[in-house]
Amino acid sequence: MNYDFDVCVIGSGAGGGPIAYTLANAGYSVLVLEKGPWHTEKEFTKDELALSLRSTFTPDLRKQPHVVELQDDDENWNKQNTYKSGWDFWNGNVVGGSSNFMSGFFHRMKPNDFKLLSTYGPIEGANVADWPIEYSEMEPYYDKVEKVVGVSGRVVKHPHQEPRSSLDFPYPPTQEHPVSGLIDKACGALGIHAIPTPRAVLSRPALDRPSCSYNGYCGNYGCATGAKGSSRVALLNQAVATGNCEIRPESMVVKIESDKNGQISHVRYLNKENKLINVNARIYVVACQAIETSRLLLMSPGEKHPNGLANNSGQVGKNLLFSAGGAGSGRILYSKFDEIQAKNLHEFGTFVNRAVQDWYQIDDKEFFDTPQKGGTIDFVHLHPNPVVRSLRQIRGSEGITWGAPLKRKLESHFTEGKFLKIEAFCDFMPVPNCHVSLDPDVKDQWGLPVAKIKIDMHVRNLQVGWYLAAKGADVLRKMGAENVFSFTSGAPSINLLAGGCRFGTDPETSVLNPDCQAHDVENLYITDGSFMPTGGSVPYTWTIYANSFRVADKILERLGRSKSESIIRNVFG
Amino acid sequence: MMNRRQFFIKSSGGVIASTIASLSMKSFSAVFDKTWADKLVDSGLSSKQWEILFAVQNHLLPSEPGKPGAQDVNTLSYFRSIITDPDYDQGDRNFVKTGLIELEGISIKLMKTTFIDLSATQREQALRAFEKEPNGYPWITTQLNYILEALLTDPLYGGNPNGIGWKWLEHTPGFPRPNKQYFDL
Repeated sequence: MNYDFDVCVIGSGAGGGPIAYTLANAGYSVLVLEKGPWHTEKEFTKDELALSLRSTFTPDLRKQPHVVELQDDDENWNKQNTYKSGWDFWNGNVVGGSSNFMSGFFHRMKPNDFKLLSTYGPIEGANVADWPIEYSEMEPYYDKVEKVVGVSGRVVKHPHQEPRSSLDFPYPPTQEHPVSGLIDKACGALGIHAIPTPRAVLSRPALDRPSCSYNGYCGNYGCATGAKGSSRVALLNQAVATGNCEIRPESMVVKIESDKNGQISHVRYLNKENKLINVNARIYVVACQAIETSRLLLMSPGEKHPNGLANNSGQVGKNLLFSAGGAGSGRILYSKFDEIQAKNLHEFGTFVNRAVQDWYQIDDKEFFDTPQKGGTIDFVHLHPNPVVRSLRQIRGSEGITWGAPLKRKLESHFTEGKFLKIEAFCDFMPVPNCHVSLDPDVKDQWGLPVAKIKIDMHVRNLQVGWYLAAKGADVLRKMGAENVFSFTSGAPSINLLAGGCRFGTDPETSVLNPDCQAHDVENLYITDGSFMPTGGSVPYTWTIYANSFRVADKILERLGRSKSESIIRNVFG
Repeated sequence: MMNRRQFFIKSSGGVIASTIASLSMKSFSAVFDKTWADKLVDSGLSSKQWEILFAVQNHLLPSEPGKPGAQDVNTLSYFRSIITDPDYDQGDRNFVKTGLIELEGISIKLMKTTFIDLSATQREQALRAFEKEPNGYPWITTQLNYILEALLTDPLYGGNPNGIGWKWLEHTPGFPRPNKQYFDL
């Protein structure tokens, strides 16, 4: 049978990029279908209105909402259209997906994260499972991401340093703000380890990309230089350059069709002109971010898949993961320092780059009788977004603040000190009432059912998040910060999504096998964060990249390795 | 019908820009062209309601020496671009009008006169009374949202002329700064 392409990848973010990169470089023809437009560095200016206050790189919620289902205090479940609620789970519908807008804190998962159940035991009410692979199988791919996507950092000794095949990162840390030295000093005094936070940001020109320009707005903004390792700039540009990869932006896949044997026959998508187009390939890879991946499978029933593609176990959409943790902040007053030090603290554009992982496992009898999984504490600048920051000042204890009192609050907030934030990451426990399904009522602009996201969370998320955030707050206090506070929240992270198509060895309890191939659809692989049974106590992107490179090698093996190698084998026997 | 994009193109170098800029120097009545509001039928607001809005904005962020207030950062024209955008939600547009009617009703009830003619103390009293009404809190918060946008977003969007909001708060904008409005990307 003739195919249009060897591989068709749906979604161009961190899950799709490594597949396109690997297969195109090996000589296979790859098609990438991306729902959003193809922007480049020149569109990623530091425009707060575009990035933080309007839906510029995400869909108009009137046309493409989600439905969120939450439990109220009386334990009744209530649905809400995200157009009305004002919050949503879109994170970047453009070529390169949400990786364009990641902060790029790149922490690896650790060996125990791959065997949470067998290491720490079951947790009542949580559906914890070990991964079907071990850290050692993922490690070479974490290493590959460091080199190919570009991760800057410095390895230091600390109690929970994971094993590495490379001695150090290929790129030195990005330039650091003077406040990092204050964190080091405070952590030293507390007897804990401040470690340089690895970042998917180039600290020097490399990989045909420029270095970071230190504009201070990095955070959730697209990168104007190409130093940030988005899937688009680090992988897809290179894949296209091979001549073997075609990217079709503004292509909305509406259904994956399967044949009488249950295998995918072709994909149907709407192009920019709203014309329905069919395309087929030997192998299909879905990587639309966790919620939309489950939605697409559920929207794609077939003769052998009456409940949605790859959903004969009923597991598609289940065990959805967000990120759990805590947060906090404090302010370092300039007035506490001499003139030169205060001037240094005003520095703008460089990174904090500090994290603490001393409590990646919590051995604290006051917290729990037995050792428990803990997490990561990151220290970051308060993002400079001035409108977002100023809006927080209108909240007063006795009503809205306006007029001259508002102006005094603004002056104090913006000019008197340096705000430092704590972001603590811990495992989001998979629970039965946290999943994706198709909403029976709400349709998107194409008349397709939108994803309904039922959200529940385990109390363990709050316990660990609270513990870690409080430890972070201790560091801020030791630094002499004022107004230090820390908290945890049950609100789901909107930008860190995983699960929904868990991988495992049992087709009854998982959607994918250990190679991230669907148990009951041989020509389907899923490579965004959907595969993760648990997410570790770190942001997910590095693991998604690494796993996608791992799966790319599995697909390559299945296709007969690189085409050039095959030719050599055929010619020379 | 003028949409937000067309408005910005026009206001960035045209006659309207100079009219609005002069608001910072003069009272609303001195510069307000009655036909200006009549042309803005898309806004759904009358001339008088625009005048009330102008007064509200200047009360919420008053001008002080060396410290810009609403009129210095063109909040009225900034908001005009928002509300006349055909993409602006009709429900939100109605909410702006309803809020102005409610506030004016409170003013007349408490002080027997229009909000426009109130002293600063009376305006504070009227707005605090409005804040306690079900629509008051979200309405005032919404207005403050747009006022602070006009104060601190890139001057490309018509507010924050020459970055005066940034300079006041010693804020360093990121770079590169936008050379296109987001809806033109």
